[in-house]
Amino acid sequence: MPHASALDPAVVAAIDDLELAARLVVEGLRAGPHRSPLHGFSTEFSQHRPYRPGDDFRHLDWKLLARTDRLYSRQFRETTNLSTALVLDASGSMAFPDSGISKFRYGVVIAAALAYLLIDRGDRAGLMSSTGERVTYLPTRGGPSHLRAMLAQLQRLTPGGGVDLPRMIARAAELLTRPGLMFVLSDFYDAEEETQRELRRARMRGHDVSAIQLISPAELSFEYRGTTEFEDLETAARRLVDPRKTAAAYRQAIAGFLDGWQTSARRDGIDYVRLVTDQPPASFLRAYLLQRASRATGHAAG
Amino acid sequence: MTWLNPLAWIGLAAIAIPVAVHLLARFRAPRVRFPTLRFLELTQSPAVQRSRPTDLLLLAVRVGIVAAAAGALARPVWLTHARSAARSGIARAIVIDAGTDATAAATERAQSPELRSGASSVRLIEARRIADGLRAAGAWLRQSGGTREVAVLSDFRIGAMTRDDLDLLNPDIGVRLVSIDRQKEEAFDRPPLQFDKHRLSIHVVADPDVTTADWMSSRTSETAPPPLIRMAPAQRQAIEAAVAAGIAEAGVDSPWPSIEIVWPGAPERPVRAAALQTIDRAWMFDTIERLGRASVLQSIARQMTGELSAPVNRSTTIVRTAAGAPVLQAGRIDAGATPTLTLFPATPNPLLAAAIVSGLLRTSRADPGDPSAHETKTIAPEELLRWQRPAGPAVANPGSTDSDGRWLWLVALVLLGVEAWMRRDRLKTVVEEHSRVA
Repeated sequence: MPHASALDPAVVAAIDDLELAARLVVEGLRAGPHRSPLHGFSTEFSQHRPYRPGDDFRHLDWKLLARTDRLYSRQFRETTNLSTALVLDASGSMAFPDSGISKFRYGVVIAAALAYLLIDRGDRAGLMSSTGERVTYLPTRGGPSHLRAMLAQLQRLTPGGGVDLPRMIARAAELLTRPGLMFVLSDFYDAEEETQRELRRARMRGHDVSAIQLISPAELSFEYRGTTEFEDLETAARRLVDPRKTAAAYRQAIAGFLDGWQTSARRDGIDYVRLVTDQPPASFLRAYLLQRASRATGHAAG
Repeated sequence: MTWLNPLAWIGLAAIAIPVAVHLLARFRAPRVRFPTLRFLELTQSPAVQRSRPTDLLLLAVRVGIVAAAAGALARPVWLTHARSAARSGIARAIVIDAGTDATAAATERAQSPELRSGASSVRLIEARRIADGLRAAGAWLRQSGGTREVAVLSDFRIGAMTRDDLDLLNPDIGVRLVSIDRQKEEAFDRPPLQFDKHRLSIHVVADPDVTTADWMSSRTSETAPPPLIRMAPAQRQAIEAAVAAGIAEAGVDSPWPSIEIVWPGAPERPVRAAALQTIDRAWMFDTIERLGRASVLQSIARQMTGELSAPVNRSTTIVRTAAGAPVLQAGRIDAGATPTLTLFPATPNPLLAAAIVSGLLRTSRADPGDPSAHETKTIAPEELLRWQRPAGPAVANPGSTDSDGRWLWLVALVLLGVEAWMRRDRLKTVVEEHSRVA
């Protein structure tokens, strides 16, 4: 089976079977010469176990080696019944672009991979999404049947209309009965201030909040030529624009928007990831989880 | 410029078609469904025209095609100096009554500035009978454009013409009747009449009040030479009898012009036929024209059903049967000092012989039997005034193919090529832009 990291995101996203796609992504995380990033979710030390080839050397307990002349790896809270809420933006803007892999499909694959990863490890995961006025909620549970239910629900989602993302975040934070993980996957175009406020509130509740901002290459580069009529995917408003005259200002504006989100997230202690949809999903997850693992190791060492 | 078919300009209404196509099929920018317009607002892009400048140019070209086609159908005529002169001037036919002693004066009057001024084209027609002249004038004027007019120069003696003769002209042709004064007194000699050995000479004096005739009879030993008639020996007796009957019937023994009759079977007929030329003398035309109108000849032609001899080349058919077979043909033979009008009857029918001779006698150029030539009374001036009428509006030359529409067709053709090129180029540009956006 080819490794997910070697698979083009469009190929992964084109796989109709979401469970298969999620599995490919997760397997891609395990593959490769580098250390596995799958130990990075928790920041708490849980137990020792004998060293196995392939374990991250950073997790070797050197003190115990000195005392016992035996190699032991430290394990952190990887399977301690962690509850995770996956909040997925299914508004109309996520349906961009029309051709190739949309931000929404990409987000679905990431959400599916995360759900797969978490539930497969014995944790619990739930889903909160909204298509227009209709809110989709699956409570945090574990087990293979719940995973299938989540994947099936993700598969049924269709982007369109507007979304009340702040409300979804607030609700998801309430439904996590104890501090857990929250992943918010969105482009964050709408209700910026309110969204940032709810993310801060979720953080203040003790949840580990990650804001994954999805953006497509076309939105960044704005490589349009000639007079073009742009239609808002959510409001259906139209504007006739000459891109030759507006491209530079647009790029500057969107770069400022994205940087603003990054700054705001860091300020609020929220994990921020900007995910361009031309990246392979496994590569993103690997980098992200390694980053979290590094932080966890650093905290544990401290 | 003028237009031979101005109603064709109604076709300009077709300009609505390319205008409608332009409004309905205006260039549409490619539409892209975009996540948000918020960053596009900030750019404050200027208003962008929906239409490209080339669309208006394409519309102008299409309108030009329709306008050029409508103009070509309207048959324009660029009025050059010559054309303007032809249209604005007057086409005038001047009919000179040649059946009167006032002919010379009429001919001189026809050259006067009064009858020449304002005329862009003039045709002089001499006619023994005014009706014949009007007929020829009408035929010529029907081929002319502009304002058309006939001027008749005559002494308008009673019998010279009637009001009905003017019906030979189109109603829009103007009529001017110019009276030519004639001598109040005129004296002439009728050709002498020969009765066996008696010659009768008559001297006539015509006066508006009294016409007198003095005659003198004299005895002579000479007999007037009969017309030269060539015939087969077997036909001699019958022909001579018929000629005698014709002379007796006509009652006139006038000098014959150079006329000969060559009957079928005459030994000289092949030679004479081989020497035949086409008729080109005015008196010959007059003779055969009057001979052709002779009712006796027409009657005989209608009755003829028997086989006729073969027609002769270079001759003019004077009388035909109902089926079109020639009964009497005539041509010219140049032998001797005077050309001869040679008649070729198709059959040696004695009745035909008598009719020909009788008709010839009546058509003699010096025809003294026509009394109207010396009539002293004239048609009243008030009557002539009522017969006159002004010319109608100028008309275009009906047979003229002088329209300059072909240049407008050429313009339309060139514009069609330009339109096709512009349309292809525009489509290519739109396709390229759509490809980039996709």
